[in-house]
Amino acid sequence: MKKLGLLLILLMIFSTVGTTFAAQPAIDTAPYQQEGDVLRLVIGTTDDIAELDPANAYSFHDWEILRNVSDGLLAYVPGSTDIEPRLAVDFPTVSEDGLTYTFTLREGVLFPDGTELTNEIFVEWANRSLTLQGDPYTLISNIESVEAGENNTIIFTLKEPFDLFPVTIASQPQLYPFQAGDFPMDEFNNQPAQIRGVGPYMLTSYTIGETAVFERNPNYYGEPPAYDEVVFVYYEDDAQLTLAIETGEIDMAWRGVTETEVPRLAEAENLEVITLPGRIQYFLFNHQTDIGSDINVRRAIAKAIDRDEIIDRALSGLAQPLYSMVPPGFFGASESFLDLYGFSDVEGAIEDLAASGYTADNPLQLDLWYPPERYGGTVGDAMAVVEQQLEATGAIDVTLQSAEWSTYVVAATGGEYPFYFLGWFFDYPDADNYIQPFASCDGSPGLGVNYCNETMEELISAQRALVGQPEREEALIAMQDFFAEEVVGIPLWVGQDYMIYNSDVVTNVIVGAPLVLEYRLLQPVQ
Amino acid sequence: MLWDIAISKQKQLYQNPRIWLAIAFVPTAILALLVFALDQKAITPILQFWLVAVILTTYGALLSSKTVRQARRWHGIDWWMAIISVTFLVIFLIMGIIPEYLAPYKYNEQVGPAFLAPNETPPEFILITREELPFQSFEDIGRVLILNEDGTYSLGDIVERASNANGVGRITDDAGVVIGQERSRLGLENAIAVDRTLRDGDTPEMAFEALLSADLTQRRPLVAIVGRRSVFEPLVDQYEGVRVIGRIGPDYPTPLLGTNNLGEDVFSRLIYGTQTTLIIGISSAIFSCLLGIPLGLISGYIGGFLDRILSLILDSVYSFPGLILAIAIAVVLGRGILTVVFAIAVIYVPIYYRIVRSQTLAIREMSYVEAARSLGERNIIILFRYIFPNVIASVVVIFSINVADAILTGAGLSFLGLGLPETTPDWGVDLARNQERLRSQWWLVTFPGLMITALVLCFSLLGESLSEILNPRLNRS
Amino acid sequence: MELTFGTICLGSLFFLAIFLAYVIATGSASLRTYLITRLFLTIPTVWILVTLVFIIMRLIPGDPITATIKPGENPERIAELQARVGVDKPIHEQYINYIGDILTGDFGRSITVEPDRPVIDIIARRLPATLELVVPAILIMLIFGVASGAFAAKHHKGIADYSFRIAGIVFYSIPIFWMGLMLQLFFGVVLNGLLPTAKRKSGYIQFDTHTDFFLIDTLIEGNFDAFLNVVSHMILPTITLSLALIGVFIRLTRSNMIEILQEDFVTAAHARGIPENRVVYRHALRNSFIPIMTLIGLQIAVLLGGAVLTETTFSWPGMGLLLRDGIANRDYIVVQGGVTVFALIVGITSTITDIIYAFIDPRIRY
Repeated sequence: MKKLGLLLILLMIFSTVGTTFAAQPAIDTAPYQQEGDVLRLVIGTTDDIAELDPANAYSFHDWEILRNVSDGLLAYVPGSTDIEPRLAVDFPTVSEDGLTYTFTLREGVLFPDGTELTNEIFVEWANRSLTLQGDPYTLISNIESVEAGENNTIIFTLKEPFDLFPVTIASQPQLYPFQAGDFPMDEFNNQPAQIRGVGPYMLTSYTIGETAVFERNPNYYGEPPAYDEVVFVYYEDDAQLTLAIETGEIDMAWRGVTETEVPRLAEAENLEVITLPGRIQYFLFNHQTDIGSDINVRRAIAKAIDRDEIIDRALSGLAQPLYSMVPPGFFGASESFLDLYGFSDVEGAIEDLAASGYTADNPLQLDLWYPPERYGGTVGDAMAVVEQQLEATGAIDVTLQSAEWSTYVVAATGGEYPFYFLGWFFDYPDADNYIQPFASCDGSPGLGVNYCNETMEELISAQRALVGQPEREEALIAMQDFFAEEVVGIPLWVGQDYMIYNSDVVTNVIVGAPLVLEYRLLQPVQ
Repeated sequence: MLWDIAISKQKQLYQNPRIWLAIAFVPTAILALLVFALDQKAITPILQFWLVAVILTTYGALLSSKTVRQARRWHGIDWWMAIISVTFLVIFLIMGIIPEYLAPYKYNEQVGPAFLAPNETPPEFILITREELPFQSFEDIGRVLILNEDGTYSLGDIVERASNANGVGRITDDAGVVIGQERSRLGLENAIAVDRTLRDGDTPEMAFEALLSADLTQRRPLVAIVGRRSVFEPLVDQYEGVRVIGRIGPDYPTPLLGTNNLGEDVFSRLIYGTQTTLIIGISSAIFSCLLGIPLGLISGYIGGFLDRILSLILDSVYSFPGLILAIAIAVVLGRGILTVVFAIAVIYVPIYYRIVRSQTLAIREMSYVEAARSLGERNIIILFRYIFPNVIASVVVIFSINVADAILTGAGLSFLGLGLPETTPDWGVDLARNQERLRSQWWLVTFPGLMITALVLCFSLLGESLSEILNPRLNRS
Repeated sequence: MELTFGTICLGSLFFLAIFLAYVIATGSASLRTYLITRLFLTIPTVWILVTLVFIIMRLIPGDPITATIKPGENPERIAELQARVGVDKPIHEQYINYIGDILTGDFGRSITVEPDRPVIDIIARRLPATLELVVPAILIMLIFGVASGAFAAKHHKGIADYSFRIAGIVFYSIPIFWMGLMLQLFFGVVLNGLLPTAKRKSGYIQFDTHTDFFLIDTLIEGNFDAFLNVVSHMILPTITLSLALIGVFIRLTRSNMIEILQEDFVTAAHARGIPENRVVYRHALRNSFIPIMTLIGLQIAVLLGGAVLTETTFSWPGMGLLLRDGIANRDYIVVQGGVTVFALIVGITSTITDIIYAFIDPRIRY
């Protein structure tokens, strides 16, 4: 019996150790991730699939999937914010009143089952999104109708002229065509079994929280992509993803890598890092409250805040200071807040506060609201630094207030908080999308800002009228200058997103400001 | 869990008046909970007093009780284990009660640069500028540089700035004489705004070259560089036209266990964290006692339908994964120490209930209880004078294991990002905040984890050794 | 018939029913009454938990819609979405609907975690993941815990006794997630990726899933490389989970063994000249197995709780993560479904252990 027990224990130990080492070669097969004849690329991320119905999808990762599975009339040129025709033969012709856009559809585009894409099929899918009115519908609500015209043309009619309409077309998977049967035409299906479109890949199977598998579309109209399969692996948190890219478990880590580890990863021989602008973070005022309606208070806060200190102390230096709502790198981005208020101007802030009657004896009681989880754990640190900076004026008494996101977002956008913290990621990559939602009479109530100013309205429409012309830059700067002068909100910093890939395995990784990754462009290293 | 087994073997005890000492913690506990409810931020002297009182009364009562005296045979290592764990517990308690006297800094005080490794000497920085520029100190860099007509530079200040729409200010020289106007967008006419710091110079040499080649007529040119003394000082001689203004920044001490991302002292945070952890562990265990013991007493003594219903409900809760229940409760209540205390307390109520109930069932049938009942004592008197004292001793034994488990659950909640606000000095919070820095800044994760392990170890070692010492059946051999 | 998770469940329920029928048929009258009462008690237990969770979820501020919206959504649309998932109805109505649905076996469709997917499908995929983590952990605990407990008892008050006990307490005192992080640091970083540190399998390993037990699936597919890959992914999480509770098993085995070793039949066996080891490891250990069985029933709940932390640390897509995400996103339907399943598992396990206990141990009379 004793021997048997000993044997059992030894067996357990050996089998554990044995499997450990036996499993080892399986991990080391990494260089080409090839199994049989299938060439696979493994991408890890901390994003997750939420809703895959094109009419309802409204998150970064869902859109990326749809973009790789199907294609739009227009799309971004890989790696830039410029747009190019894809399913359309050329850019649209616009009617004189700016209400009608006519596209001509490319010939010979096939779905995976062999059916050809016609303008009627395209219109059917576009109308599906227009009738179902899912989450991102607001972005295309300006479309009055979509019709199939003669000679394979598609005619969009708008409710109001909107010069940025082609940009909308390029950024919206809502208007993409998909293979018949993948989605019901009269209701949402957020969890289809598979998704096939006219794009380079087909989403053939996926499990939320685990993996998603893309297979090559045999009938893709463009150059066939290099990889037979692209596999997404979904990680729960940053640290695990970071470890996975480092140990070669995955070939690419796309968003969600621990920021503080990036400098170290960049030094590794086989890893390449691409840094991309991420979400902007800012404070907003509700302009219908005592605090928000007082221009002196708004200016004083804008002056007292020192972005560099926040970034250095709370964010480990891993963000860029933001001196206008429009992040650097976008056409027309300015540094209006820097020009007007400097890096930090405590003296100026004290004067402004005094002008409104707030002094050390009668300090301004300011509740600073922020959501503690939504934008990552460092936000709490950042708010603590802001508190110190504002209190350094001696005339502001800050109380940090936090609420859990579901409560927070309703209260903040419902106008319950006078001064609050939010983040923003563009719907379409244009400076307009960073100002209009916050400062226009139409847009600002939706975010709880309640700001309406005639001059601002004029500046917004002035720059919109100049889309595509070099003079637009000045119009955009004038708009941002006015935003800063009025302190509608206070831009703080712009975060960073990272694409890290194993350069021994994959090459030709092209991503740009719109953060669109096209799997078809990726090439294995030979 | 450990107590299931520990308690089933308890010897029945007879009445012991000293055990009433243990009851003294009830009003103090209520007092403390009131303090929490009133002000969750402040850790007040009342609370410090309360911590001492609770610990002393609980363990004092335990050690002076008959049980222990009866069991005072020397059990070798078990006694040593008890003594060692009590000794360490006392150290932890002192740390938790008076952290402000033991920690070198306050928990949220910036004591040095971020991410200093344990025992790493903080780097010294020097400030270097071009020879012709008139800066004398770090503060001067923030002032306006004025190009005089003879080609030399002097310093001035901006006054009356930003009061007008374009943010144009007037510039005065050192004597206070207005000498010009600032121009808003294109830079200054006869003055030059300066950048305060240099961001991420790739190599020291590049920084020197950038400094020497900077065009001072541009907006915000590079006029000075800040660099580690060890790196930059040897290079100063190699470049002409530069000079060292001096060392900058306060003198930082060498932190024992390093600093975190906000430049706070890890060691001090650990000491302050003891307080939060002890409060969570002990008060949630007390909270559970306060609910579980009366329920168990009443349920076991009265029996019948009430007993069945209570048993069913509490057994259901007991059989369910406690952490998941605690997560749900923590989400309901929002963040705060009280939330965590309550969420954890709820999941341990059934444990006290089960033990107290089963013991009450047994004691209820004892002859002295029968005697009291036949003498016409009121039920409430019987419950609290005859039954309760015999139950409390076993409760005290599992109390320490409960505290250990509660600390683990609390840390688990913090790890999942629930419960305590991020600014609280707490080991679990520190762990959760820094878990992704495991690779580069290992000390931020390792030390809080070790502290949790050590404290939990103390409590569970104590519970383990006590139950061994007090277990009469194991004494024979 | 195809082998899926559903058929596995049905199969085990079938065997359970046969076992119960056998016990009831052969057992005494009192045992029979006890068993039937015990079985019926499972129902209120599950009901109480489900109701408790229903109440807690409704007390949480925010609902599935407000928990996930983006800033700037207009109020009418929020109201419309709320109406679509039925969270605008009065609470008692929601409760009645919910209980009715459960009774008809309808767990509803997820609202925010995996929108529109039937919860039963999600659970059928997540539960095997959790079981694949928990069951090996129990086995490790059982084998190593009982072995070292018995060894400690044999050397009562010796060095081995104290070192095993103290080791058990030390492992119990280490927070599960911290242990996980440290193991990741060691195997992922120090040993440079010797063992995978997250997920259930590598991304480049693909196989068809039938049961969602990856061990079984890979064997069905005959894909041995994939099998090894899955095993290598299991090692760190199962070790982490089992270490935390191994002390409980050591402790229980030890104290039971010490008692049994003092009993008369052991002394008698010694007197008859049976070798020491045979007495300890055969006669005594067999007799201490019954309480260990019950302990497993009790530990299931603790293990499932520990699984939440382990799953978070290792990105293991099981029930724990599902419940955590469900609570965070206010997905009432997912949380209620998950809790019901957990309650059923706990209820069934403790019932089975009780029945086995009653069946095996002739001393127990009801």
